[in-house]
Amino acid sequence: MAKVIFTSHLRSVAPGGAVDASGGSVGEALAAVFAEYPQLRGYVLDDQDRLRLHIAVFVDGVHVRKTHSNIRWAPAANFI
Amino acid sequence: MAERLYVASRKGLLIYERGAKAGWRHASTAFIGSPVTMVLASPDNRTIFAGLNLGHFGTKLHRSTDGGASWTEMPVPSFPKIEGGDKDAKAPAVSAIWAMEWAGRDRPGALWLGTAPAALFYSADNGASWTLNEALWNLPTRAKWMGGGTVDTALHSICVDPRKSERVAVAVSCGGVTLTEDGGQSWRVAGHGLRAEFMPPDQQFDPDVQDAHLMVQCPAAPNVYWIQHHNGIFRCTDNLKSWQEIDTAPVSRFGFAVAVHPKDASTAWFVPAVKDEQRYPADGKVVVQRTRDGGKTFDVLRRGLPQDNAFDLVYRHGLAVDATGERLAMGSTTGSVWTSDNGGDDWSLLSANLPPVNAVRLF
Repeated sequence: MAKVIFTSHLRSVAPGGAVDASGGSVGEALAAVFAEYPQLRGYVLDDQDRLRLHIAVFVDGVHVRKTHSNIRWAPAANFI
Repeated sequence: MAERLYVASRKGLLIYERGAKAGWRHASTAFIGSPVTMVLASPDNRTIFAGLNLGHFGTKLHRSTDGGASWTEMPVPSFPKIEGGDKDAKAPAVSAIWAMEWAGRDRPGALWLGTAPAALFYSADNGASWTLNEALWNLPTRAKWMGGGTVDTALHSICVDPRKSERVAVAVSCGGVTLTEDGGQSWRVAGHGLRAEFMPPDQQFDPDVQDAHLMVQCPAAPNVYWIQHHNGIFRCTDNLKSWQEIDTAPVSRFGFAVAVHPKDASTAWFVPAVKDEQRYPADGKVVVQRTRDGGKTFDVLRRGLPQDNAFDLVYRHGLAVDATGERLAMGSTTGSVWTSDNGGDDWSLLSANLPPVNAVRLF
């Protein structure tokens, strides 16, 4: 289970605080959040489900650039 | 006469209204701080669409059904997901909304929308859902389209024929003019006669690579179209069979914007600039070139416009004329907006302190 936190810039369409999300990749964890917050998807991903160019995702402090990047099954935190 | 002026700017959508007294007054601002690339309103100004480009967070589409008092974010047109597209940097994604037009009086609530990269989308339900026009997207000649001033190609002009809504012409930078006569089921190239100076000599008349900056169609004489092209002004009088170059513009043949008089196809307005590699008003003077005889001659209109050390550039959607042909509006890259009530003979400064203007429209 990943703990996902979004930047305050996305507060109007994203969860207000940290949320738990299942999945073994960034894309899967995001998909779990998007299921609850569908409007958020288009702010983070483009038409092809790629991370938008200037969206930075950090997994346990490591900057990742692809939605298919793996999430380690530690108490992981994504900061978007 | 138009009762509203919409200014789509880099920092929001400004709405001006025509009061009982002469002149425009600012009524409201929406999306303040956010870039608005295009706006479209219904004739009664109740339904309004605004295309936003939020940069980091992508292209968005908002709709108001109460004249701009409140807005709802709508689904934004997007390309169908391609298998493996998330791993393919070249798979298409909408980067901007460049054009929006109603799809015809016989199609209430239906719209066409043009994007970068150049594609056309259709909504039959007042923007609740969008469908990519696959026939245009799959047109073989699209392989020759290329970006103009931007990396992406851009579909910036949509002319819905007032005689028959199934007949729609679109223009692309750089992809010339393409026409459908069956509501978008099939398309054919319709830019024959356009000339691209930037191409090798033997390819300059290739209709598939033309950098039309903006195309407009005369509502009262719909056989007539005008184009402000990258390297010239062109006119068509035969319902898109051929284009003729107009080389009589006295200040410059370079520019982005064109507006055609809604009742007189021989009258059109252009905003000239020093040509492509520099792009500023000639001699620092903002002027409008107007022809009233189909391009044989032009008036250079300058009353009320800055005539000293001005750097205002008017983008392709930065000039608008209303349904009477008398009221015009013009917005510039340096945040100036001017309006005219007499066909451009005289201009009044509305503001010199706005954000860069992407588009102005009168409804």
